[in-house]
Amino acid sequence: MSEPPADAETFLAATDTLAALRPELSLLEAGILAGLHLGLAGDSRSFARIFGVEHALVLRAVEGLAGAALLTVTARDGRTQRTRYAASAAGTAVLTALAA
Amino acid sequence: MDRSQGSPKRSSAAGGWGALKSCGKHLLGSRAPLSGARALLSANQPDGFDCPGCAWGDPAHGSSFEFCENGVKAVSWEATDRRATPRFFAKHTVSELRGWTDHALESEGRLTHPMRYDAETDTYRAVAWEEAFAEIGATLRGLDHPDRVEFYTSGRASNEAAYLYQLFARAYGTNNFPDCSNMCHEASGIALTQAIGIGKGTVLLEDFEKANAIFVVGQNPGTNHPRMLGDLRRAAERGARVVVLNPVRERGLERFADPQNSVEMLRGASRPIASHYYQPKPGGDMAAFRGIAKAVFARDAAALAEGRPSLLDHAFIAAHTSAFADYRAAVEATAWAAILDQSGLTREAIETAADVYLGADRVIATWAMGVTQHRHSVATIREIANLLFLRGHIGRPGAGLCPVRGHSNVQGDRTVGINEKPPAALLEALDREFGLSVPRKHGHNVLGAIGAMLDGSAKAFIGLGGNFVRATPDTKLVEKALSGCELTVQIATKLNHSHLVPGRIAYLLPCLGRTEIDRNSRGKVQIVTVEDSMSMVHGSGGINKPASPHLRSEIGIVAGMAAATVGSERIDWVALADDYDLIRDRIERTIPGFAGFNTRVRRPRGFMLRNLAAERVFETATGRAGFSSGPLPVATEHQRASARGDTFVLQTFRSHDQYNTTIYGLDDRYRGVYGERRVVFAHPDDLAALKARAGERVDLVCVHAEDGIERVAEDFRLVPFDMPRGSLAGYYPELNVLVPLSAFGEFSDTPTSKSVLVQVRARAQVRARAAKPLGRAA
Repeated sequence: MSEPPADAETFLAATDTLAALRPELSLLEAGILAGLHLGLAGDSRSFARIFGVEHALVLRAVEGLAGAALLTVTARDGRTQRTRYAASAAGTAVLTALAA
Repeated sequence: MDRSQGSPKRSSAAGGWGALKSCGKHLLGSRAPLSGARALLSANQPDGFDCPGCAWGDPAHGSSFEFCENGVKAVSWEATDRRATPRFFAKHTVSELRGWTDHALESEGRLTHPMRYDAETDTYRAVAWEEAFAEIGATLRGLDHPDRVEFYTSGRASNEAAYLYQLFARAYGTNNFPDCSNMCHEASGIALTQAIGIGKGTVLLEDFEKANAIFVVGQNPGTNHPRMLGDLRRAAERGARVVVLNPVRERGLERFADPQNSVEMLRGASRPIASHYYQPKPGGDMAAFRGIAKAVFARDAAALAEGRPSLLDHAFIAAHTSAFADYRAAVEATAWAAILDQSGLTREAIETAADVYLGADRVIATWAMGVTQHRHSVATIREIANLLFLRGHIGRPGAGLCPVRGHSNVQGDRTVGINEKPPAALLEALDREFGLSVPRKHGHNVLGAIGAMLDGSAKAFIGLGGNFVRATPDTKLVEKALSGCELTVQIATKLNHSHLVPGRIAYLLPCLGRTEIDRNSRGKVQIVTVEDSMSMVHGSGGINKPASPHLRSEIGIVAGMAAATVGSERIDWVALADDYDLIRDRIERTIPGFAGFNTRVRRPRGFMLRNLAAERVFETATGRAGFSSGPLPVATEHQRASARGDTFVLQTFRSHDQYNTTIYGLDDRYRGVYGERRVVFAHPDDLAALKARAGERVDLVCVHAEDGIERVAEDFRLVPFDMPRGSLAGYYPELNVLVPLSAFGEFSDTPTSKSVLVQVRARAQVRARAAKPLGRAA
């Protein structure tokens, strides 16, 4: 398994920025968006493994982000519930602001 | 940031895994600008939901459905994308739907809206929640006595839903709590309470790793609780003996089948699991265990005669038991001839089982419906306990009694108060906690509830889940009972036959499934709890998006009905339903063993409710574990059938594509049946004696003349199977029409679904009403 491409400080900074931009998000939800933006994790299981967060919590947060139209669920494994996701148009706009 | 924190190993790279894992911790806790309660809740959420299937324990509680074929079925059945919408109900009358199979009804998918029955059009129509609650409340308030209502509970209800439900019923004024355990493990609860002072088993999952003999009696874990097979397999692999007593030779018990290896399960790949497989006659388990004890006493006498130490644990017997001498006298007074005739086993087989028992220093006995659904089930379970007491196999590692419950929270529901004969301490605690004066008079169990609805003394039925019509015996009578009610309310995820026998006013209220995210009014995710067969209490939180925005949680629905019925002056139902932590606080203050509930349930694997018997503290009248010393039954149903010559003993059981009344599919892979459910299994020699061929279709007629009702199950295909002569087997709920309401277990009131006396009739003869039963050789 290769090392993730971004370091912890970058990730935390991105998370903080997103949390400030969208205060209605939980830190975990902001972290998922930051992880997607930085290329750390594009599915719930990978995020759970990289960050040591229980998978169920990540799944709930992904559901929340999808409900808020910031993420689009692209695939889901029926057995493990591993959920792959991408930024929606609204999510992309937020992430673009982050990049700016 | 200290990069060593929260990392299982130090990483030299700034962007290493350890640092990111530490970030994960921060995301959930230390950096969170959120309230302490919210952060605590998030950090300690259980990892996934409790499987809505069986009650077998989890070594590391989590999404166990990933590892169990039946769990996968249960989850995918709930997570279907099919929907039974108001449009569907507008297109199909209730009368039409009554002609559909159980499988077809549930296959329509998840219910999406609260519905009210419209007698004018014979259809269900969507209704607003508040309108439903208001009419239900007004109807209940209008009844002349609270005992006119039956509050039924399915074993799938969570602890929180069940607690609120019993509080609602008691605040309303009744102890009428028919529940699904009345039809399954009631005999276990009663027998164990008599024997060891608590109606639960005494083993933990870890005990299966330490036992060196496990007696598996009257159960089929391959179909009913597949994860148990993993524990049995591991036990067998390290050399433990697995002794099976089951009339039907079940492939899942004969052979290894790894429930954690779904590929192996799906392909049916397996290896032997039972070291000894005995096929007693139906109802012959008590005689078998008495025979084993008789052999043990004989071996002990021989040892003493040879100057060797006693084989019994006299220290345990003297310090912790009562009535040992009476039991020994009863065993010695029981003739081998009676034991062999009633059990249907050979003396050699029984003595071999005794040798296995004596050769093990840690023994577990585990059982299920094959033991509990007979007339003498309580006596049988006492006999099983007797045998374990002889060598002190209780209250120490690797040994003990283990009834294996069916539905995932049937044990927990009873723990939190679903009990028609509640202990005084519970009622006093409820009075004290809520400022109530709850009723003391005992209420109805399932049979009592059906009787009350039939005679008109009960006017309303509320079902918290389940499928009452199909789960209970004597289907036609139960349909009559329900349809005569003034009010029926069914809380459900999917359509089933119980919804199709509406009372004068009838509601179908759709609820969230256990796999779905349950958020409160502030968006906070709620968790519920359940208790497994090993008395472990786990948290459970859904992960899927709800099937419909109109669904409410079971807890929310109960609260809505309660507020509309008894008001919110003493109990703030809405507040409780909006934060399940508040319900758990109330449970903690009224039910023993739940101290620190909200904290402990969020730990991995939850916590174990204290079980005094597992600590050798026996809260019986004598303060000791009690040997029982009753005689064998005068005649089991098998013996009665043998005496008649034209009669069989029928047991009902599940197919492999089934969980209780939920039919996932039409196959029974382990028994080689595909695409149909109307089959009846019989010994090949019995088919020959009947002059019937395999595949021939027959009707089954219940031989129970006491109430003058002719019960017929029509059009079943005969399938030869390895089982004792004189016995038959087939699937419920289709065969429940044959189970008489008036035949039930002594002391338990459990329908005798494993020992129904029936005759076999050729189809054409029945149609002509000139039928003679097909006889069989004695």
